[in-house]
Amino acid sequence: MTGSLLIIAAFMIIPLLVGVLSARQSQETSEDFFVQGRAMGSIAVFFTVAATWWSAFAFLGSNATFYTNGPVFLTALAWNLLFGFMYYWIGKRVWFLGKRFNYLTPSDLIGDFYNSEALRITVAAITLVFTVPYLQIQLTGGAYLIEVASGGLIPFWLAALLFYFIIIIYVWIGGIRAIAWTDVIYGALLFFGMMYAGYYISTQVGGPSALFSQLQQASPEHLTMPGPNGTMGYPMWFSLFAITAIGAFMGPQIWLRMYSVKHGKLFNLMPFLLGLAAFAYVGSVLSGYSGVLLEPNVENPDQILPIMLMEYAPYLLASLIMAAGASAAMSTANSQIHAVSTVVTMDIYKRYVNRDASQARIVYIGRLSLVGFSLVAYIMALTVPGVLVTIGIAALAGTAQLVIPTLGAITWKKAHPTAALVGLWAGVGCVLLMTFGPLSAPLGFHAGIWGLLLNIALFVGLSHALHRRDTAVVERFTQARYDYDAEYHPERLPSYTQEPKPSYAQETKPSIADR
Amino acid sequence: MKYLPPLKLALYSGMLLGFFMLESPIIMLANRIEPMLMGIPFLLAWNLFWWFALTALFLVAYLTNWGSPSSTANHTIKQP
Repeated sequence: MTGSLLIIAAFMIIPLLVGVLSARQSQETSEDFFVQGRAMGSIAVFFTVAATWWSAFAFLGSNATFYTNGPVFLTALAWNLLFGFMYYWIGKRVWFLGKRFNYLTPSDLIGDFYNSEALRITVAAITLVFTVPYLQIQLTGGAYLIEVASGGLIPFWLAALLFYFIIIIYVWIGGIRAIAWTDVIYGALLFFGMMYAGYYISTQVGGPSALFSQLQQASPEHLTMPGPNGTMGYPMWFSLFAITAIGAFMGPQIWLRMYSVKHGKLFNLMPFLLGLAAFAYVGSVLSGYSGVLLEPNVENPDQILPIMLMEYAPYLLASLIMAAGASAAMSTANSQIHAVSTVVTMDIYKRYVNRDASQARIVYIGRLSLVGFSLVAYIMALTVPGVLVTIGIAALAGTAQLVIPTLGAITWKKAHPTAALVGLWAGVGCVLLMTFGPLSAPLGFHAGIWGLLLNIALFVGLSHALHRRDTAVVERFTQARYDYDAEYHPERLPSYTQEPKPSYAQETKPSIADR
Repeated sequence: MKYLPPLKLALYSGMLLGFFMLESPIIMLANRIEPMLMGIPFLLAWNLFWWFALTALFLVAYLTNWGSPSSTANHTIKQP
């Protein structure tokens, strides 16, 4: 028990030290606190994107889903690839525009392109409202693990409190730089933990081949869709693929990790690296399926992995792997807290409360927001029950709606602000009505898919029907897209000669500090 | 299509094929336990195969600049 407590203590203290050390390079400017001066290097970018993207949803939720619902979570292999592809295709364009026009949040880009305050506020509200439940599940997952790893000595409420206390300290001091540095440790622990846990637990039933062979005899419905409960067929397979990848990608924490990148070429490599990392899900396959054979009657499926580790692994190894699981939760939670504080500070405080705020004041407000949102998530974790994957998917379905206006902003000059606004409201309304209201999602597809379809139809239809009058804004973005293609896709330049020549008014965009 | 170099077209087509094999209803044809491949159920083996193919394709894409020629222009150039 002492050894486990030491591992938990190390898990808490080492990131704290790393965060404090990284803070020595920090500057008291909003751009440094929120996006590391747009100068984040390759190793930090990969680990912080991967560790932020992989959460308690991945570490605990994947095992729980294989355990209860069969193979539907295998679609995670594809959604990781889709996430990587979007990070290249959308992320690189967002990064380019962010660097040119000094954006820090999703609202900055979408509000600027569509030239609409209503859209700016809507986007900020969506990012805040739908990120908090996802933040809550990180806290819940991490606290579960600490509670079990300590043998109950650290109760759930205290584990969650410790968890956030540590995050607040190092994010307060070092901003996104501290998060990126600690995510290198968390990321490495997370991938090691998932793979080794799966391999180790499967050896308890004779290894991977024996596991599948025994499962085929004992519960073959676990090996094919729609799974043992008969509810996880193709519609859910596709829904999870699309909603998880798009919803997580549109989270404000990932936007910050697009804006922070130093060199555009790094985006070219990320799909490969993020795709490769998805192999760690094989560990979850082995853990979840081993649980079906070894512990078939666990009441809360989210606890299947910690329970098996405590039962079948040496205590120290179990604690180490659970610390890895807590890393998954912590590395996402730290980024989400930081991201929502960025949204509150830049999209609400700086824009509507105090336009003339100094850099020091902005950073201070950002830090206060960290504490406020942590508290909300902490209270939710203690009071709102739910299965990690269920809450996570509902939250991701909301943020996924942002992809439509984002694609419009980076690729389509006809994209209209009214179309984007109506599409977003309809998409989010559809998600809420089908998730919490009287409507049920047809054909077994998740509400988020129907929300996206409605969103796309309204966005494209209205954009074709309406015409933008703010040509200066449209031309400024057309010029930016042209410059992007000139630098990264020169083969596309001839396509611009077919468009009417823009006037390129010599409009200068105010810097973020001026807004 | 007009502004897609052959290599870029091949890469993106390969990626579309990979995602199609993983996420279209065709996955239901692979939704079976037998034949097991190296002790792995067929559905899992199918997913691992296409995951590997797409990941390898992403590596090729990186090594070939995603099928785009390297830029010779200064990106601050204005449209003619």
